[in-house]
Amino acid sequence: MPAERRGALRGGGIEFSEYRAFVTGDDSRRIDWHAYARWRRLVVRLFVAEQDLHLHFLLDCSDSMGAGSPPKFDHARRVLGGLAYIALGNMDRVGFTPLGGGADAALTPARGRHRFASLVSKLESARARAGRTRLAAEVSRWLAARPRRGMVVLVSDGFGVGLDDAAEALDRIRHAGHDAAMVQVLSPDELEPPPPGEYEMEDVEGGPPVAVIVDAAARREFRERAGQFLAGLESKTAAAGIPFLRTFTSEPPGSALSRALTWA
Amino acid sequence: MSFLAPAALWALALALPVAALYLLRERVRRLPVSNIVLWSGPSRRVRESRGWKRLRHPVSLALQLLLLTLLVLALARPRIGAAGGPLVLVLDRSASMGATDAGGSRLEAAARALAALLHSGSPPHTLITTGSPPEMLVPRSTDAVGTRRLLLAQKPAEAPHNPAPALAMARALAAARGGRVVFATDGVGSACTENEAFSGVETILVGSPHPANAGLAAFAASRAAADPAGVTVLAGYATSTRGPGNSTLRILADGKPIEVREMEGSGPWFQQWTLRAPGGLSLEARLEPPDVLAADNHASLKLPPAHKLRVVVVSPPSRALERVFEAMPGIEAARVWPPESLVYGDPGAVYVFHGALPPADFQAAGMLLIEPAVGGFFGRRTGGPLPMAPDFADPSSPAARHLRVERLEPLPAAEFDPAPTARTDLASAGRPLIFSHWSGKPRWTVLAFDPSKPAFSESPAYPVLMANLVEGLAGAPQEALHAPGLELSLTRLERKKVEAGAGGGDGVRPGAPSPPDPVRWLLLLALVWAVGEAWTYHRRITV
Repeated sequence: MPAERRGALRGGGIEFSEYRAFVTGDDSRRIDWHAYARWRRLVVRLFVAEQDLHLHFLLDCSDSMGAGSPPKFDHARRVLGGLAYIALGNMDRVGFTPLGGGADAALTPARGRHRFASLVSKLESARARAGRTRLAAEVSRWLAARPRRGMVVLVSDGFGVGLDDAAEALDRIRHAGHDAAMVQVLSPDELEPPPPGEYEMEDVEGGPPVAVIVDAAARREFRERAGQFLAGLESKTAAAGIPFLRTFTSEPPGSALSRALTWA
Repeated sequence: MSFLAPAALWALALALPVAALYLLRERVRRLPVSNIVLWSGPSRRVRESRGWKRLRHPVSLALQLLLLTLLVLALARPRIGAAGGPLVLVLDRSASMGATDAGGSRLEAAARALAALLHSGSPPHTLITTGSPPEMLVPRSTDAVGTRRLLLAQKPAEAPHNPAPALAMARALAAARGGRVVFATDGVGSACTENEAFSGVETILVGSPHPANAGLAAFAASRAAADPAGVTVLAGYATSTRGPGNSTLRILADGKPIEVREMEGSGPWFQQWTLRAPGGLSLEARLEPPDVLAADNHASLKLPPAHKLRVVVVSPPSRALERVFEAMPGIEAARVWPPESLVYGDPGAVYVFHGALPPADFQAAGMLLIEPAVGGFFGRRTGGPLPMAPDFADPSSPAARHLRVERLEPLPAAEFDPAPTARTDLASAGRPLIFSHWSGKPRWTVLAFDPSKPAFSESPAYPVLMANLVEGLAGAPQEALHAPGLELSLTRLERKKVEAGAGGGDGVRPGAPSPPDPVRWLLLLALVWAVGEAWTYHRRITV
């Protein structure tokens, strides 16, 4: 049974879409004689072809998703699970792929509520320990498998290799012909600089420790850069027409899901 | 430099735990971050200032240790100057130290100044106070607390003190023990003219250098031996002010004023009054209002009732002698003859030996020997009698008081060679006619001539001479003095000599007993450093 979702394809559905001039090879039974009577031109009726929505959830499993208290990864899985449940309830085909995880950790798109249990199982077994992850590269690797076109929801904190990694990954999704959406999961702690002092800061995704002296100037600079990063991602997704949801680990998952429903 | 509290230097051992804590304390905290890119700016600044980063912590540790050192030195109370040897402290307790022109009395200021030299851990000290004789209150002690208490409990005496004996004692002690002498005084008194007294003495001057004081310079009363019922009262006034004084002098006898005078001018001023008071008499002198030195603003004395002087004439009957003593109402005369009936002497009586000599070791207030026939303890008789015309009378001799030499006729007199201790009161061509010894007991006077002979007894000088001799030989006139040497004017005429004569140590310091206290400077430095360190602390975490 097809999902109740408008597809981009035009086919033999029952819902009128538009007229087209008759060309050699068209089925003559599709000629609209009422339109000919009006316009003295031979036209055929086109109908909207109803098709299944393939909803692909890509979960960022890099080490940075394990940061925060509670960890961002847990919050991301809850939000993802909620969105998947809603989609399965709409008879959409839902797939899940942990970026940086193995093929056996993925779930191919399928419909039906009975798929939710499988999804939950995959979510539970997923771990945020993929090391340093380049989101764009992981998305490209996933796109190389030529998944069925649909909507791709990237669930990530946006911290990849460089601050533009998430925006580049979304671009690649769109260029591959998919509809893109992003759920950014953040922890309030990581946007607040630590108290003044001397630190050896280590990127959780690896790399040598870096000596940093946090004083008033450094704190100010951090807040500016963090603000620019967040605003930049928002503006890029807005400019590309990509639905964007930002949620913090301090927000109840239900509240995030309510806001996500506005995407529909 | 030495330290008054050297035990505090042990606190320098705190440098070890300070350094250990400083070096061992984990300075750099490890912090995992989601994306190091957000910290690229501050981390770049750290890389660019790597040299200062290496030095910053050692410099900070050095500053911490410097602060500790400054505080410990301040606690140890360093002292600059000669402080190693024992201290000999001399406190001037003379009456002028009672003046209240030093924020309290001068004695209190001097005691405080000396007490400030004593601390726990200070070298052994000795405390001497001036006086006649000087008094050693603390022979040698390290009990700073006890000596300070003793110093602050001292009171000024009622008379001036000569500090020279006390200073000589102190210098001898200091020389023996290798210490130094510190003398706290107001610099008043004739002894301050003696530079030698202050040689090698560190002097602390207290009190105002220009005090204004008016005081009683003298107050005495006496009865004449010839007329004991008559009382002569003497009062003297002196002031250190240059302008006219503003005091009122009251003299009271038995509570009744006999003189009230407004004292004007700078003095000195002396006056005598005569009253008749055969009974006992209470006399008081008051200067009002009291000034900075109250000790010399009031004097009082009691004169006992008059009593007759006993005169015993050891002589064959002599009308001239009897007549002159009968004419003295203050004399109770008796005649003894032969001299063997003189059993013992009355130490309060005057004996007149005429034609006899006193027995050996004779007890008397005084003896008058009239032309003794032979020599004795008083000298040798060498000849005569010869006519002698008096041509010399010692004006300072009480025996020659009121004698007008030019009015004396030549008279026959024996020649004597007086004892070496005698003084000549009256002479003729260098030959003594009257010679005396009044500096010991019993007093004696020898007349080389017989005053009872008409050649002299007819002259008006005869009763005057006899009265002078009797009075002088009695030796203890009926008198009363308020106090010896009441003159307590606070003029500091000799202050310059005090300042110039002090030698050794730190010289003369008015008021403060010690050189500028380095403790204050150390604490100030530590405070400035601590404020600066606190202010820059948050900057030390930056580069």
